[in-house]
Amino acid sequence: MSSRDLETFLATPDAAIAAYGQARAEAVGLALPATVQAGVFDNLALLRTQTALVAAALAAPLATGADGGPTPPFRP
Amino acid sequence: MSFPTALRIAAQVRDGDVSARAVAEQTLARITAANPALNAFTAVFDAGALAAADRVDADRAAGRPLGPLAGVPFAVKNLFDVEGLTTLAGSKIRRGAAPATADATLIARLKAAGAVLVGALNMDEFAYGFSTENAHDGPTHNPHDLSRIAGGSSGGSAAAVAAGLVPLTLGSDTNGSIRVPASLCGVYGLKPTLGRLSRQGVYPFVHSLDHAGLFARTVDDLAAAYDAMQGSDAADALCDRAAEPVAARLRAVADGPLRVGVLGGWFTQGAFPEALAALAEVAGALDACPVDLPGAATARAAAFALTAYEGARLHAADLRARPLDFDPAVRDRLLAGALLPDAVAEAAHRYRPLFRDAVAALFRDVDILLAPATPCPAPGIGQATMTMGGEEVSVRKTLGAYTQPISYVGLPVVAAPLNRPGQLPIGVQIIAPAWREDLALGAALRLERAGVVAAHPPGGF
Repeated sequence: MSSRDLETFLATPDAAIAAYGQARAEAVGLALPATVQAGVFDNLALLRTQTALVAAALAAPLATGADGGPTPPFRP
Repeated sequence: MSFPTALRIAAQVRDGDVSARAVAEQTLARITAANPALNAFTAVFDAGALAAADRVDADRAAGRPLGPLAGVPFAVKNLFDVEGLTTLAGSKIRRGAAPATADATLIARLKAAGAVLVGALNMDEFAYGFSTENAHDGPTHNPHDLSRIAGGSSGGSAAAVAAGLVPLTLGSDTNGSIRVPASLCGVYGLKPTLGRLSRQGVYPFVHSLDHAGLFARTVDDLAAAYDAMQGSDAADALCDRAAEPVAARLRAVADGPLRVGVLGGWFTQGAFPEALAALAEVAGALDACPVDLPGAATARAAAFALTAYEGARLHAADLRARPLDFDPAVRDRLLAGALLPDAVAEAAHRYRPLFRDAVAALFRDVDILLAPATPCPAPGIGQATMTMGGEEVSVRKTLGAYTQPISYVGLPVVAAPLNRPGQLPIGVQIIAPAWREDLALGAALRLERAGVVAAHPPGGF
């Protein structure tokens, strides 16, 4: 998984979030029951908005670091 | 009326003023009477509690030393392993799981201190929520107004303490699940530093963010129980620090100098008047100066995304095999998390040390930071949305807006209830630097002694 995947996710407009979600579900082997899809895609759109905030704050580190190996263990 | 504190019960048992069995019997009777209205308990261990109480009484009769919490009843969120029982974690999916083979470390440590386990408590499914409106076990009702939520995800734990059913409960806090229900139910909650208390035997939610902690009705009870549970645990790699007991020196900390900052910006944005008034009162009592913490909104966003990502990976097999057996409110969020690319989690992890260092910079000038624990008093049961800052937002997803940035970097927090008898409770976060629970507890004790914060018995209990 690369920063390109993140860029693709963040660039997905609201109107295309369902299609993006369906494609991701297929890619990870997850069957989404029809009755839950609307709720799932609403949540996915919200997660994209939240992730965009993080990505913006990390713009420089992400450009060089997303594929740069594991993050060291966090200590408070 | 006031409810007996844990330390008062322990003293009475130790002095022979009351037997541990009598305490256990009274506790079980109170639970039987009150739980139908509250729905805080999902299991009550009558026989086990009475047997444990009898052992305390036998020790006393034989002249053997008693622990500091001898005879004190306590209960645990139903994601803690209890030997011989299936750990539900609020789910339907785990009802067929094998029973736990041993108590969780924290339960074992409380029992070793003489405390008596009386039951397990309701929660949001898999700890993913802030309301304890559990689709399988029903909602927990707020003891101060039964039409309102108790908060979550440790809602049963907060409600049981608030209603005086037990003086002490355990809970977990990944994004605010101790601090939110403590605020809405009007009790004290302690979320220690990430790694301070063992998570062994606590059903996980988000490994990177999970904390174990506790609820009580006084600061002294909180400190005593916290001390009883401290210490490293080889079964939890994060929990590698020796115990640093606080109870004996708490008064000195409370009486000593404390430099206090009150957080603005994100931490007051959209807050209801009750939350702002509570914050102002506590800040005034501690002579706090305003401070700003840049990046809090981003930290909250990172915690939000990391939670969905890690939670979904933990439950991946069940999300594939039986998605309709999840609580609908949890299922949709986990399924969305399962669709996130890995780079989302990488980004959320990478922001963490940056925000940690930003908070650490603030702590060069202050010892304590204050923030609201919740944006509002308890919403109604079944209330899906509320208005925050002029925007309609989800209750379940938003009650932790002010707690999430703090747990994201693992800082210790005491959630303390403002002293406002006869009104819906609301709490304030008292935030300390990493590993300085003594400062948060000391500030809470100073406020309690000044009458600024207090846990009030609700009417009818």
